[in-house]
Amino acid sequence: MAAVENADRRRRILVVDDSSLVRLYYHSALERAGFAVEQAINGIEATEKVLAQRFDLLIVDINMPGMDGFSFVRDLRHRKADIAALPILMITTEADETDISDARAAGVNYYLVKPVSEADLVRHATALAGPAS
Amino acid sequence: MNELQQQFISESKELVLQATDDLMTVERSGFDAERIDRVFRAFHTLKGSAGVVNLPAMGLLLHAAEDLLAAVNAKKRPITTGLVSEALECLDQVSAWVDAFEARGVLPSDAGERARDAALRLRALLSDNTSSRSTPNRHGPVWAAALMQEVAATDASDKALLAVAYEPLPGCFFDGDDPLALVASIPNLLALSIEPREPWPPRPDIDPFACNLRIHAITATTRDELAAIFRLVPDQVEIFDLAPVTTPTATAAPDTKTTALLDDIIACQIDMLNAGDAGDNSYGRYGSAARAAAHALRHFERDDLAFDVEAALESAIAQQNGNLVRDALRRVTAALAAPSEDRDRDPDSPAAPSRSLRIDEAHVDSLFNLSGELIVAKNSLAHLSKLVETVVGDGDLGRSIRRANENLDHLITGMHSAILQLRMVPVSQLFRSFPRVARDLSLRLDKRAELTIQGGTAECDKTLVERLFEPLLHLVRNAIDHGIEAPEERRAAGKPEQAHIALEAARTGDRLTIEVRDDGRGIDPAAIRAKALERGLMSADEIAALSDEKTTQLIFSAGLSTATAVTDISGRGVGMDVVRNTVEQLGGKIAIASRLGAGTTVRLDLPVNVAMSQIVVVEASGQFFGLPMDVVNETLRLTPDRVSRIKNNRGFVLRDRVVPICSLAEALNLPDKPADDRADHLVVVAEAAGKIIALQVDGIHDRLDAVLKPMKGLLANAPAYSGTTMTADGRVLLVLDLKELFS
Repeated sequence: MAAVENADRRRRILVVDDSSLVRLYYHSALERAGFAVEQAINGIEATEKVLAQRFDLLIVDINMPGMDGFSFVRDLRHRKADIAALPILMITTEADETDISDARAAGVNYYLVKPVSEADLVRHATALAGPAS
Repeated sequence: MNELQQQFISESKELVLQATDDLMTVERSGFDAERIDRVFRAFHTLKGSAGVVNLPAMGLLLHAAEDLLAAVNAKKRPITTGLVSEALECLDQVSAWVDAFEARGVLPSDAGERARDAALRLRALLSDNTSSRSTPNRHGPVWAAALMQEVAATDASDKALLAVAYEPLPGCFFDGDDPLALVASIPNLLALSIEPREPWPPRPDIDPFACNLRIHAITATTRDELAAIFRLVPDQVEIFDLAPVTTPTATAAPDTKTTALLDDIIACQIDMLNAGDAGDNSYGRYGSAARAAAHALRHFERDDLAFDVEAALESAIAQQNGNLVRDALRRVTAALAAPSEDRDRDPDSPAAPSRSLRIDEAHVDSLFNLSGELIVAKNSLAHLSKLVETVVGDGDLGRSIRRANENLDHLITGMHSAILQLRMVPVSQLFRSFPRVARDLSLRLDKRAELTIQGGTAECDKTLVERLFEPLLHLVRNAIDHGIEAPEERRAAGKPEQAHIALEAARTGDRLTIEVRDDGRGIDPAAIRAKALERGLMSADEIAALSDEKTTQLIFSAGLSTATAVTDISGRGVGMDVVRNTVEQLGGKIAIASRLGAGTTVRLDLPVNVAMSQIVVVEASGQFFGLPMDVVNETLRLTPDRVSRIKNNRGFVLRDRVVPICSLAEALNLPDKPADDRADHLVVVAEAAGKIIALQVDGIHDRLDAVLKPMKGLLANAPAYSGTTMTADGRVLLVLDLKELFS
């Protein structure tokens, strides 16, 4: 396990999902693996957090009330600031061909289908967020 | 079916064949890192493709197989016949599913169940090894092995681990138990799975007060601690020892799974960049792709490549051109694949790959048919030039047309042979499934046989490859079932226990020979003589006069089988007579040579180019004849009032032309029934030797594609026939030469 040495040096992940259960699951799994984790309940809240804080990876659900995952990613990708280029891991319930192509079109970097085991989540998040500096 | 799916189908078929070959080679010749890696990659690619075309069941099965192979790849698991059989069965299943997908666009409805069962079996095979120190238990290893995958993937410690199976009683809530709280209190919990013990009932029927859970966990804690936690429910808990995580799955994972993940992440970035609208070249897209890729590369310690991507990103920002990132990612993909680039080299294929283009078979077929029709259409020009010379009386114009025709003739002949060349495929396509057939069959019969292939690069028309599979299958099965002796018998005879079957092709000029050789017991001429007598094929005198060699050829006669015991292997399917018929239909010959105790060789001699003629079968005076389709204009049923008599001749008017009617039976000097003027006339309108004629026949039957064999022996001088061909039921059909008949 990556040792938790210093809070400032941990990789930071924002989990965007409307289900509190899912957020909790990801949050605890990722925190155990040595990440610092923030949560947002939809695209609107996620945008606020991304503008305010530094993140290394966003983990985003598709179906969320308010602003869904695709709209959030598309919007983020077209911003001028550096946050436009944040790596994004999308997680959703169905391996639907159109979902996957929509995700690609929106600018999602990687795609996982639920159920995602803790090990898979950590493995992918670790690879995409980069090694802790 | 979209292009992606078609690509998936052809790629999957190729991978299944290649992996089958490699698996058997590995089984035969022992551990070969390169081949095992190639098998592993084939499974991995298949799994990935299954995901792309959205076939989760196939992905599930392949995932389990891939994990098993990863263990082999890491040399943590020996290659056994059992393991190879499992992997081959998995490939069979994949192959069947790919066929179903190709035919119907979906997998069969039981695919999910089959995948789960097979995956469970594969995982069990894997866990036999991983949990060598665990208490043998029918539930333990299977689920524990699955959970161990997760533990292995998370960088876990190498401490001895414990697996916990906890099945709370349905009424446990009323006993005051809180299963989840108990599980949550397990220290050092590494992996956890919770599933229903019974399938969930429909929602209205769920009893919220009954516990229906089965909980599996893996922990690095001690038995004592677990005992303390579960002290109130000891009857519902089982604990197993597991080997430390340094066992196969764990060590295999970093080598194979992780680089697979890296490949996958890079591929996703390229896909994402390709998916954008043409005008969408925003920094967010290529910037995030570059960052995700660089992160993953650094994570897998490929800093060199990460640097390349980051440099490309800087240039891309400077030039506002995201394509630079995509190009860099493609270079990365190539670099990641590079170390294993030479793995595709096959001993049987030429060293320098020839440039090739994949063409759909159907296109080649239609091109071939069109060129055949073109030849027929062109033939009318010769007739036309003659008409211009004689009827119009313009010699110059006639000669010009003839010259143009000759030119055209030359070009069309050239084109036709170029198209024939397109139909050429290597014989290896025909041979490649036979090592597998030989392996499975000899295992089933408790024999030991190895089948080797030589000359697979020889090329022949694809019709041969399509039509020869069944006959060769029969020959190979025969060789193993009847030719090869049991190991004890071979040892007693001073032969090696492992028998050898050779499948060999050679091409000389425009002939292809294929030999099926075995070193088995050979064919006993005495047994064949006895059988031939018993079946009444010949008289005793005739049989006595036959040489041993001639006697052996009798095996191709219908109704003769030397199998003393009818096994389920050669006792059904095509017989040797059907093998011979097929070969002869293709214009070839078959011969057999055998030495008692030393083995048998069956030799097929075939034309490389199968020049198929289209033939229509007609009936006259109770006999059947073939008419080449290229002389047939049309077939008609004439009512009596359309037929007019002019002296002894009959004729009718077809589009302002008087066409003479001629009885085919009469023309061939066959007994003809008296012409019945009141009955309809069935005629074939044919054009030959510049004349148009209506052949009256008694019946018009099938059309068939056949290879014409020239007339031989006594018939060689019969002018009315251009050749013979075999019908599907093995009869000889005489094909008429109308030009000769009416000249």
